[in-house]
Amino acid sequence: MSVAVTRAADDLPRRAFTVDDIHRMMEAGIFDENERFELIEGDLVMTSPQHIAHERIKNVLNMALSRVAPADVFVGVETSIQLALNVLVQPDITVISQSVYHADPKTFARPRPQDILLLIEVASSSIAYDRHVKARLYARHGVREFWVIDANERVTWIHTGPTGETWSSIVERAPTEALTTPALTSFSIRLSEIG
Amino acid sequence: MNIALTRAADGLPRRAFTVHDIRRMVEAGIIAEDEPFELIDGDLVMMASKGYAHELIKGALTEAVVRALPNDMAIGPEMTVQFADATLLEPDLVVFKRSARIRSDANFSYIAPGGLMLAIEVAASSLTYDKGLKARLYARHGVREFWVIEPNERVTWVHTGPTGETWSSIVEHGPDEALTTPTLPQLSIRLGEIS
Repeated sequence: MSVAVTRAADDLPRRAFTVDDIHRMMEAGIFDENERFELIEGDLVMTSPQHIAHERIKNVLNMALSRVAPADVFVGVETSIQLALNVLVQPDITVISQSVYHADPKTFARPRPQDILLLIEVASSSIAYDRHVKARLYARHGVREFWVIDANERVTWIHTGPTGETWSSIVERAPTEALTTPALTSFSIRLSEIG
Repeated sequence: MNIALTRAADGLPRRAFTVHDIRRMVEAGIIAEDEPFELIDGDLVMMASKGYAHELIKGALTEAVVRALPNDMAIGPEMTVQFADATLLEPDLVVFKRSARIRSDANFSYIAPGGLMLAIEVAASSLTYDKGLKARLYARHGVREFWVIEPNERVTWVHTGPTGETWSSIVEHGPDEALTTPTLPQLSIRLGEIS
């Protein structure tokens, strides 16, 4: 089933949905099984299938991070995390404490800020979305470190130090520079080396 | 009832809901039947509470229309009308051919093409909304005549001749000018006289 998307009511006050509404819509059969969306402060934003440039980087990062992740940490790909009553996202890569899954199996994972080690969004068509809407959202919810990667240019923006809706540091890394994170000290990758 | 509003995902591809989705959300108790919203090409837009001037004008117009109503016409004050599979609107007042009223698959009121003779919107929070998006929608769905009224200045814009998404004629009437319409030959009202 192809689900229509809309931008009809831009700038108008739209009905904000909650994660609880999403649960009930799923139960009521409103969503198709394969529908992929994120709940951004009450708005349901559809996510689109991704081209190879995006998927290659995402998969390589996933494997590289998984190899160095400690036993109590999951590296999730497009895993659902609930950050607030009206925020449910699926970052491309989520490095997260396994303890968040010790909860009611019928709920979404609800990490506290300290449970999230690193979020990564790989962007191709959606760079503005990831660098603005997502960056603001993740800062607001206290994510410690957030990377946005331009899948085409292989440039990375490393956001650290969330304060309010912004970040105290946003550093741009070229494809040939090594990407590292304090969360996983043995991890290092150069995007230019990905075949 | 306190429904949250959002503009978080302006400009992003939002999940478009259909009238069937709305029906199922109402049945599942996700949205209340009396929630004041319109479905605009798949977006759920919440409507503002109406102020004194708005209700004064709407009330007087409703009375005048009822008195002038021919036998083959019906009036719908704040009637929820399904215009398309993803569009449900609630004009302040509609006048339609009785014979054109149909129950839709999703159990909403649908007016057969050519049957919706007059729609009136008394602007609440946003004159731009009614003169812009609403005017385009009513034109697109073949409403014969559309009035937008600014309730404080009591100015009316009479739209006639829907063609595509525009109107072949938009005429502005001041508060002292008589408003008339071919649909209701007995009707003549000056908004300046309402008190």
